[in-house]
Amino acid sequence: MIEVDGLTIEAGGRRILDGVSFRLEAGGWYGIIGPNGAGKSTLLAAISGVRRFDAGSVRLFGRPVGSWPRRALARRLAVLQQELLPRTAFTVREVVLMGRYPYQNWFGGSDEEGEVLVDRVIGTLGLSAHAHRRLDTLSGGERQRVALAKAMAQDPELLLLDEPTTYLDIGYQIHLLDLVRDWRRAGNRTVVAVLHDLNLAAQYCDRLLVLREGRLIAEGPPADVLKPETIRRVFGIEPVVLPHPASGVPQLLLKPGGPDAKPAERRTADTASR
Amino acid sequence: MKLPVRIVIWSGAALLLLAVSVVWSLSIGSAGLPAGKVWSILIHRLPFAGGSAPDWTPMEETIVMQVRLSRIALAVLVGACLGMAGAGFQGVLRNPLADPYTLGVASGSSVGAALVMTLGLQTALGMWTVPSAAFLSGLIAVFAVLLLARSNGQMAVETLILSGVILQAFLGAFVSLMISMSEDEVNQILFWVLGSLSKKSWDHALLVLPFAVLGLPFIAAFASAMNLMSLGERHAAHLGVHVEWTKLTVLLASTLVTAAAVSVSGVVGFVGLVVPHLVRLIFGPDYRLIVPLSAIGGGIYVVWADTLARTALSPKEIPLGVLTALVGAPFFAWLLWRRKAGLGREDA
Repeated sequence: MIEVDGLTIEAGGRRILDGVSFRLEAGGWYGIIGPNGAGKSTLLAAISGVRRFDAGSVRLFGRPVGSWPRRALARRLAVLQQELLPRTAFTVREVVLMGRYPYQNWFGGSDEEGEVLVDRVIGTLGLSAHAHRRLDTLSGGERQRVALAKAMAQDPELLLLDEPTTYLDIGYQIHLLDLVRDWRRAGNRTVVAVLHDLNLAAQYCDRLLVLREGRLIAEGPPADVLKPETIRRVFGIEPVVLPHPASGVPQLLLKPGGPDAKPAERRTADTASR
Repeated sequence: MKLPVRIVIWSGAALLLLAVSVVWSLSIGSAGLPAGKVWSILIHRLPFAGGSAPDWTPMEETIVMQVRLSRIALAVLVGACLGMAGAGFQGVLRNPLADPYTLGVASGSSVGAALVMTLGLQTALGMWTVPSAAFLSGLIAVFAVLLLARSNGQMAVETLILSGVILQAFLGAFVSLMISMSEDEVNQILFWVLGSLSKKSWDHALLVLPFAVLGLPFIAAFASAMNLMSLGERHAAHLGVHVEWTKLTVLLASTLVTAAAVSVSGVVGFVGLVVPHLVRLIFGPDYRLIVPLSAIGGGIYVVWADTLARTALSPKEIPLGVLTALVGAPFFAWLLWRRKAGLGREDA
């Protein structure tokens, strides 16, 4: 579904992405993790076709991303951004209906099944009571749910999430990712998500891709990727990794650095444990 | 209510208001013609109207049909051009202060017109010398701004607006210089810069007509794209909008339409800024309504303003640009106050 080969992007004399290659099959939930500035959002922008690249290739659904007409692509690929929707005077339903733009003519009237889909999505996301409220009367969490509804109204095979939970409290974070999970399973769709929170990434993603300084340095199921050694190499911290009591996926406990931390000792211990 | 129905109903209502404004404006003026007579002359001219023998003089008919009606038609067209262009500029620049002059059309046109007048070449190419010079120099100014703001094949909105501000300041200084060097008693340049529809004929209206008639459907065709762009350029791109192409095309179309209006009327301010805002305040943020209603609303606004301009201090004319700003500025202040009070929050 997504084939990235030797992808390289430079900006201001710096390599943001440096020869990244991978292949993602349809039907999974893939997480992209890595520290700030690793190139995660840039990678997502390149996959979605809004960012030009300097070398390499990106193929979506078997075709180079640049050769897709934007409207045709928007029928198969949707993006949920980190930035919240602006406080406009459009109502919730009007904004969700904008997700049907790639299917519509000028008046937006010819799309009967779109209207049905939009109302269903609004119901699924628990927005029915807000359907006719203006966006500038909603909270940040509610606006992000509207953005997700808009992306779902596009009825895409592939959904890209760019740190969608950044501005949300933990309740909204879990709620939003649950909605994406259920929607993905119901339609056998593919999700690629840039996530900051490694614990959330471990619980929702089937596979993780780890980026550091523009290079792909690890790829695999969370249990293989989220090892103390990898995390130290990528983030420069010393975590405690434990299995989740309920699901068994790896979870991180953080501890402060400083004089008490003795990296040399621990490295020895880790090496020993390996 | 479905959108096409809303567009038809509100546009119909607005056109009715425009028709009433036109007839009202026709009925008043310095010649002191009674309204009834004006109406008979008008009805008499309608095809298939037939009717009674004329009870008016040829002179009176000339005043109504040639002097007043041509001027009012020009007012409608200039207002419509500025209104739709204002909606286009605000739609793609997503800035509440954007108006048709943001990218420097008016300043460019003023330099062209002022240069021709300073050199005494007003009639070098007949009656169209000043309009052609204004039209061309207005377009050149906008192309300069677009080039200045372009980098990597993209135009960031902030850079565009800033480039426009810089060029306007620069060209405005040129115009001021030419005004201050002028030795005429009544300063032609100043009068042109302030905007006026006096001493215009049907020819002028016919010049602007194609721009208004072609510009409206063209800009309106991008209304849905502008709706999506109000969510941000990234959102619009992910929904299938060609953002850069939409920006460039709408800006160029709006600029052409504005340049046509400015080249015959001079710089008529505030119409393109205030009318789309007023429409948005009443009818909401949907550009499929804002574009056509701003065109009709602009026509109504300029007809009223020009009627005041020619009658309020008759026989002296108030420059039209002065009047639109005199009415428009307090209105805009009220709009800001309302926004501050949190009643009229919009997409900013």
